[in-house]
Amino acid sequence: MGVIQQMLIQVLRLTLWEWRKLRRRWMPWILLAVILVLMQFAQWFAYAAYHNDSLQEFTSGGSHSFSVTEEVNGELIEISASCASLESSGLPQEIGQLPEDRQSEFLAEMAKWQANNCDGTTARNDLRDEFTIPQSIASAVTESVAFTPILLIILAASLVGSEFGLGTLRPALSRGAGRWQFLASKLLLLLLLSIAATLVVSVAAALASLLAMAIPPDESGMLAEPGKWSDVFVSGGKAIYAFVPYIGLSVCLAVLTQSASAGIAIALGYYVVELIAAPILTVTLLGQRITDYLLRNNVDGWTESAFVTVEVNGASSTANQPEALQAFLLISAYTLVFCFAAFLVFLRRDIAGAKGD
Amino acid sequence: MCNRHCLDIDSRPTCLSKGIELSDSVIRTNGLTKRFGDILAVDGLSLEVPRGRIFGLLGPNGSGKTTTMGMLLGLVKPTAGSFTLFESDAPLADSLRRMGAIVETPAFYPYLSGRENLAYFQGIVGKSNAAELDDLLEKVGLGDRADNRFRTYSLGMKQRLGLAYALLGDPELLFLDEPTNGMDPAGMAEVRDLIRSLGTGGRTVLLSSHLLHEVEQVCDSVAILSTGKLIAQGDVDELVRPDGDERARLKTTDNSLAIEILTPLDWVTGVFDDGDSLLVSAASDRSSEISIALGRSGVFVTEMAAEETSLEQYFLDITEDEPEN
Repeated sequence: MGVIQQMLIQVLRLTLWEWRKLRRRWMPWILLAVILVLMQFAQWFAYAAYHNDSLQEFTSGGSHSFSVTEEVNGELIEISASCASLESSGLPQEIGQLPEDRQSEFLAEMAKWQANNCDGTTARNDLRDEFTIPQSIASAVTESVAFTPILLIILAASLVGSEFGLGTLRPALSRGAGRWQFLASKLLLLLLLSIAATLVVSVAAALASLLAMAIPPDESGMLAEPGKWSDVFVSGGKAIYAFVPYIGLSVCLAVLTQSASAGIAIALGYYVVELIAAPILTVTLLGQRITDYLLRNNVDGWTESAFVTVEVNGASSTANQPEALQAFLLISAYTLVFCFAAFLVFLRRDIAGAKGD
Repeated sequence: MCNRHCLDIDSRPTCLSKGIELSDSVIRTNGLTKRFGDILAVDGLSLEVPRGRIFGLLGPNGSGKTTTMGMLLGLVKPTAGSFTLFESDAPLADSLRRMGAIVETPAFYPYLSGRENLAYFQGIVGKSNAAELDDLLEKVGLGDRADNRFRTYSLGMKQRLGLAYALLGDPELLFLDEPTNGMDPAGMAEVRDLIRSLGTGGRTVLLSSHLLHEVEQVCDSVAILSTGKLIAQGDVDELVRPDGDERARLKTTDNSLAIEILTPLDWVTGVFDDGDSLLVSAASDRSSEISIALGRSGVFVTEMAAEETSLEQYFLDITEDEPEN
């Protein structure tokens, strides 16, 4: 057997034993339960809103809005409108600031958007998609990109940092487990758990959809109408790829700090700071360019699902999401940098005894 | 009171050759050095551990024993120097699979049982043998508590599990760092017996302990470190009783005259004035001749007792003389 083959077998063996060890802890099961509860809440909220007019108004008011950022004479102009604002106040005043040729283009774009989104049935159809197969599965998976990274950060930092805290790296490495194989097995297990969690969320969404169809008022006539099954696979693949840099980030920080709690705290801090900083940065042109390279913005661009829409002076945080290819490349770059740093430090560092964290 | 077993860098090869077959060593270090910032933890350590012996690694706190073990186990990266295990150029991971170790307090997963912990450490190197686990758990006296979680174990039980872990895979070379730490006296005696039995059949045991009487009872050879340097190495008997002599403590009617009488005798290797008594080094079967020699000159022995020379005394003497870093 070749050396590389032996190394790969060792990584797979370590991954299997990591899983046998991890499954005995409460943490992964609690985190999975949290994801399921959040995703199920979103699905059943859509179901309730679909059958309840007042809830429907509430949900459609926020989600159907049109927002554009234009640069005129070196200044940024934000123009936004919603179905409700168009009905009550007419066209946004800021249109007057655009050059005449751009004004007509803009009006045509907005009229098209209005026709698609403000006829009263679009919002209702969107809600129905949220709890009917197959679109319910794609939606649940895509929406999970908002929460799953937070839970993965906790799990990944705990999986690696606890080895430092308990002092169990010493007995594992002094038996000849191999340093890079040990870290690689942790990363592989986390990737496999991300895939498993996505599958569980998908199955739960499908079961919930079947249940929603079965209980009155009956919606069985619409069961297979919206969405394409290919969307489910595309959404699943994109979601899993979007999780990868957060696994890398968390593992890297746990290795650098040699602590589960410090790894979790710093990684979550980074996650939150990006969320807050992105909309603030869009106020200036330079800031907007910077946001193009932020991890969260690229993850949003990649999955086409914004987590939160924060408005600063009328500018939406999701207004300038990067192109899919750029997002793909930047997510890859972030992942490589985090993983490279983690391996570099882990392979060189002295392994001390238990740190008690 | 440094004797000829004390080492300095230049005299090392001569001293090391005493009682040790250099051609068959399981550990050979060459100028092994580890620096943590300003602290020189291990300073150019060149050491040979012969195969099939129980070898004690001694030294005061901070002398570099655990750091040395850490380097040999691949846990601590040496700043300079090199080492060879089993006289082989094989990758360290391969050598580690022939070794077992407890370094400092044994650390295991608190949410797994003792048996599951051992199964994990057995499994990660591709071995799976439930019978071996049962045997080891019985051997270290944990048979009844094997299925309880590690977090419920006392310090002594954790230490026992650490021993079982070290013995996984029947290793050729064992590193035991304070293996009786936290054990009750009966447990310590059991572990001493276990270590003695482990040192048979070609297996080498590298034992580090602060309990010097324990080391003296168990070890064949020792190396003594101080401030990161090797200051002595050799068989326990040779270090403690050079030339095989015993020491006798005596009180006489005239100590000054007794020194003059005994010093020229060729079978007396040393006479020291120790306050109101004398310390005389000579073969143990010559004690009656001391009395006769003194009596012939009109000096009479009023008290005579064998002076126990222990490894502990030797260790204290030799480390006392070492300068602080």
